[in-house]
Amino acid sequence: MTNTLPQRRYPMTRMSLLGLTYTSVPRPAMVAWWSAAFPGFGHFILNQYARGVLLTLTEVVINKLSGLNEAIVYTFCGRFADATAAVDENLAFGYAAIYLFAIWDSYRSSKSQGRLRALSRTEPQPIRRMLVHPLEVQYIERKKPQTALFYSILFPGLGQLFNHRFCLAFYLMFLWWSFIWTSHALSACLELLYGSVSRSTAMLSAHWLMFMPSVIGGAAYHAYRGTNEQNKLFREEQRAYLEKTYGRTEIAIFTESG
Amino acid sequence: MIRMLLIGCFYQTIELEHALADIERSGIDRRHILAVGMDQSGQPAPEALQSDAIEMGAGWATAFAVIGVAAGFGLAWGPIVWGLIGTAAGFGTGWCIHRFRHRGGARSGRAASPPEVTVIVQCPSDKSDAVRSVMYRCGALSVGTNRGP
Repeated sequence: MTNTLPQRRYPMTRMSLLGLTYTSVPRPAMVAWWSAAFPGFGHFILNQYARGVLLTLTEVVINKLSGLNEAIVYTFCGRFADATAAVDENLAFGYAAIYLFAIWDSYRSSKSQGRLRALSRTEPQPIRRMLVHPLEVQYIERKKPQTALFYSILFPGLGQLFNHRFCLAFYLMFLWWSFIWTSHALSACLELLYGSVSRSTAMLSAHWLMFMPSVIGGAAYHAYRGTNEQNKLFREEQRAYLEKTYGRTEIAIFTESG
Repeated sequence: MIRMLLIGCFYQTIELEHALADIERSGIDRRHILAVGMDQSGQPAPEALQSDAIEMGAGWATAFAVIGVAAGFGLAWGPIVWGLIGTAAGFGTGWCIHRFRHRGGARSGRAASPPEVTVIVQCPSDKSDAVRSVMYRCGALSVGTNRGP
């Protein structure tokens, strides 16, 4: 049935099994920052999920092999010789190239998507409210963005689940589980509370712990912003519906006098 | 029969659509229902670049947390405590930067979000109580009644 509809040159939204996908208009500098915090997260904000997932996986693997996170920790601790020794020089150049490209590309794409979205405003188009798929029921609803933020901080990925982006949700939860597992962050927290600081620090894996602030921050930002964007689309869709259904009326408020 | 006007103010929620459906089910013709979306003054266009204080806070909190964790490995209190300190300091920094930049713009002290839709229903006076109670039950912020022309 959808095939019979004329294809718009500038579609704005698409509802699918995976949830609602849309062109997004975030601040380019903000997108660039999330790419810098964790390559791929900037693309998540732009709804470019496939390349975002691949970029984050690249980041995790190459960062591990090249020893970059250890070098960052040594640098901030003032041990510059150790930092230099920690980095694998074979991988450093490629890592830097991909890292910088991800930042630049997401910055650029953020501007492009803003322009594309402005053009899709020139051809009025319906926003789909709901989709019943054999595997899922997807719909746009109005929710509190603070709830998405809260659950993301509790466990990254839950905010995306709240927003019906279930694949990204489970991907982020998988990342977070692996970082908790490999960094021993929670047992180190307990040691910090009930034992000594030095033993707690010794327990931690610097490499894996360094991924965690970016993942939790990026996931929380993405979920918060996603809820806000979906709320806007919900309101826009509803207004168009109200206008169409209850906009032409025969109510006479004033009595006509001649 | 006197025809009355009922005017209800709503937020845009799914309940609003329940209200309209229930009003129609109670026997009011669709042609006697008017729903108007309300614009707020100074509301930015949908394409306008926006980020709010929480978004700025989240960005800065992450940046400071990364630095706190990294530097914390060499400091007395360890990476977890310094990471948390960084998070709090970063969030405060981002929040303040946003507030500083947007001072005097969209006022934070503006009245709690105004109604987004006004619904006007013209109905015979014997149905007005039913329509009014539907509106209140489905989340109307306020409902006004007029005895009609």
